[in-house]
Amino acid sequence: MAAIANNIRRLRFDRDEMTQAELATKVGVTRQTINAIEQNKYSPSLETAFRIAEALGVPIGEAFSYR
Amino acid sequence: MSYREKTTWISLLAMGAVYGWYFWKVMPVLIAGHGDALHYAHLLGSTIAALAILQIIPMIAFAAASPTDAQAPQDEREKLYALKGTQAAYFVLVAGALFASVAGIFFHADAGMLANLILLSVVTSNMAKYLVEVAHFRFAG
Repeated sequence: MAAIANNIRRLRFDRDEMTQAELATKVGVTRQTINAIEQNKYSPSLETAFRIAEALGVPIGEAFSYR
Repeated sequence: MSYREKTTWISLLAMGAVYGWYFWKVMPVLIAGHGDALHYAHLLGSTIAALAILQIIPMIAFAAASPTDAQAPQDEREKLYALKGTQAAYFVLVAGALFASVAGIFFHADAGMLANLILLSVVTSNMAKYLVEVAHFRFAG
């Protein structure tokens, strides 16, 4: 389904094993939404994608890719 | 399961159970053609009270268990699923309204029957909304 892939799970673990809940709080969404994005079940809006990348301290192209 | 999903499940189940009971009681009386307005009003009053109790108590319990989630505004995914639910509910409501119109025009349904058919449309459209939302929460992520 999802043509948008992401590296959120790996990036979270690279950042002192940041939990989904911690990332969700930084981004301003629920933990379940972060989980759905990680599993490619939900494609976030551009704004949320930028916020996730910012929270993980990487450029958006490193957090998300289009395939 | 998120707070929002839990409350949607509660609304779906409570509405299904309570209005299922209401229409189970009322429809045979209406179809037989010997119901009176006071009877409907009494049953409907009990139904609304039961629905309020069945929805409010679990929601208070869920909110007490996770107050942060309960106070948080809907995020974009939850808003999207709510919109998809509302879209489905619209079509169900329109179909119900058309069905009630046809019953009134072609089958000369009385006021009590028409009122209950419209109420049935409202209830089924709300249930369609909740059903689409929980389906998205469960299967879309």
